Amino acid sequence: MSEQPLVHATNLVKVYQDGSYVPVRALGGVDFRVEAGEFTAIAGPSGSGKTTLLNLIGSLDAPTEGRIEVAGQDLSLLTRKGRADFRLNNLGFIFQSHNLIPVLTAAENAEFSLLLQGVPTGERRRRVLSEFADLGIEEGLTRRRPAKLSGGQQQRVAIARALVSRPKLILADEPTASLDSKTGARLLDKMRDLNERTGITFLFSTHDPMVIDRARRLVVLRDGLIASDETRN
Amino acid sequence: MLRLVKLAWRDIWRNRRRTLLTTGAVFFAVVVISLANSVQFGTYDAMEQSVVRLTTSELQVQHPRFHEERTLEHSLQEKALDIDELRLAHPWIVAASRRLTGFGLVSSDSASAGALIMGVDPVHEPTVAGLLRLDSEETTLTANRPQSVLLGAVMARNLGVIPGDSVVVLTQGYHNVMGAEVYAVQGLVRTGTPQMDRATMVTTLTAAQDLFSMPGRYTELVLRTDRHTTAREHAMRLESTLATEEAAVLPWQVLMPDLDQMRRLDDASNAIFYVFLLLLIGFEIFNTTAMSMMERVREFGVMMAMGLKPSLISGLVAMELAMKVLLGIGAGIVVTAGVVAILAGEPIALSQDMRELYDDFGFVVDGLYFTSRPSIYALPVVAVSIMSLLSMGFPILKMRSFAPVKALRAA
Ligand SMILES: Nc1ncnc2c1ncn2[C@@H]1O[C@H](COP(=O)(O)OP(=O)(O)OP(=O)(O)O)[C@@H](O)[C@H]1O
Ligand SMILES: [Mg+2]
Repeated sequence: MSEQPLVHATNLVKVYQDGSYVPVRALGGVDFRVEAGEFTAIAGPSGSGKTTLLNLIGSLDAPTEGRIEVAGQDLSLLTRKGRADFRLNNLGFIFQSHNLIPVLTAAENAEFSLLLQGVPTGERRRRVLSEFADLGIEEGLTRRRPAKLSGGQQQRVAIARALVSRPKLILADEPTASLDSKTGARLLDKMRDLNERTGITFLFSTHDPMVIDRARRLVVLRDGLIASDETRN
Repeated sequence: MLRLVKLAWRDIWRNRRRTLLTTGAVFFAVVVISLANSVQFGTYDAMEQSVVRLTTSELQVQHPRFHEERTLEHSLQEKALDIDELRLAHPWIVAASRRLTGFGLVSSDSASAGALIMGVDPVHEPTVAGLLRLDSEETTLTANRPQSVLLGAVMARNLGVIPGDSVVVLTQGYHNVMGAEVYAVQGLVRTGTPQMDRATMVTTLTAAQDLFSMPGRYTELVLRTDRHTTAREHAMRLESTLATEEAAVLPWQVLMPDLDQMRRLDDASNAIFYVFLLLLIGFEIFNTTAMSMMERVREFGVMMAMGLKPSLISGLVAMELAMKVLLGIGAGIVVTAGVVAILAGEPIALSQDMRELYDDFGFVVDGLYFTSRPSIYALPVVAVSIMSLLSMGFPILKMRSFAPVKALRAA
């Protein structure tokens, strides 16, 4: 364990209060740390607060109470623009499905963050192609649009996109849920392999026992609280 | 930025039908309004030009008070204003001629009628206005027959005289000196406007100066210019350079306020139709913009998660809108310009019925004229642009309160 955790959340509370509905306490005071280099799964029944926790860590939403630091940055101090820049430079996201921009080709999707970061064309191409090669995305697919890719291929492109800018942390909300178990397993092995080689930290939410098996640390949420937290290996 | 443009371009072709609908609506508005403007401006121009060149000509130099109060006391001295100098200084003056206009009583053996008596320079008058060229050759006044006059055709009929007969004219001239003279009717004037034909007598400038006892004086210096549409500007320019304070320069719009007003009225009634059409287009533009945003909420959520700033996303939507609208405007202008180029060559002749209809409204039109001047595009282009800019407010406002979490929930 290093001195400074990559994610440091203290007493996280998230209450959703949408209009006339009764307020929902999705997180009830969670303390949570993630060290750099972890490969961690967050499991738990539906509605237990997995997505909520990932969104808060990803600065996509603000907590009702508590404090989150990611990579040493207190997220509550950032403006909207500041959060966008923070995500661009520190985070990668992989969602369950519909990750890609429909009008861009696989390669164009993958290089999007690099483009926003101002990386020159040649280097963008090089990095995207090497990432594709790494993830087993064939040459022939690079110029296809998402609609012409299978679910597994789309998810691999999404992973390539999250990886290519070498973020400190990749947040993946049920990344295998839309895939068959074989494809899902292969994808997860790939991620774990990348985690070992590059040291990029992965944090996923999942229901999938296959994913849970492959995680090195498993955090289980129940009713917005951490029910168990175990590190294997 | 370049990639964002590319992205916007691909986005607009994602829903081809909707884009074609928006672009088509803009195209339609631009073509309809520009063509309507073209024929309206063109026909009015032609009509105004023909009326102007028939009667008042584009500009007149008068005594500053003559237009309000038409008395001979408000006349000018020939020596005070040198025509050649004037034309030298203002090359856009194509022709110039003096007139002396007063009132009198014209009598035949059997009847009398009040008349506007116009003394014109027989050599130069035909170069400034068409009044004297309307009828046959023999009606042309010549300086060597000073005692001859032309009578308005209706007046001649009312007085029961034909060319060759004579009439007696009584006037109250300059400084109230009475004038009386006998003239031979040389010919008839048919202007096409009954009011004029009923009460006009034309003679030479010198004959009129004699009749009104005001040798060397006149009431109007009529100027023909190269263009009637710029008369107001020309009038101002000329007046500022006139040597004498005792003269004003009036454009035809002031000399014939009815003609100018008719056009303004017509413009206003068209404007109502245009506003209606444009509002429809504006609604369509706003609607598609809003729709194209609503259905891409999830996508915008992903983009924001990736670190795209909200302002860039609204910029993207705005750019998409601008592309669609500019395509429509561009195509509209190209097509209109093509159609106008073909039609501008020769006017479309009006049927007899149509001509009579126009006649009832007091128009003198023999056909529909199309103009290709750029101002025909001004209204549709400006209006569509303004409405597009207003519609761009929607994505900008929307993105301001855009919550990526909610967007990502919308699968
Ligand atoms: N925007 C929202 N408004 C109201 N309630 C919400 C909102 N988002 C989540 N919730 C509620 O908060 C609780 C936690 O939701 P969350 O999505 O974090 O659960 P989850 O563990 O990701 O579930 P799943 O496994 O089904 O994805 C649930 O009860 C959910 O209904
Ligand atoms: Mg979830």
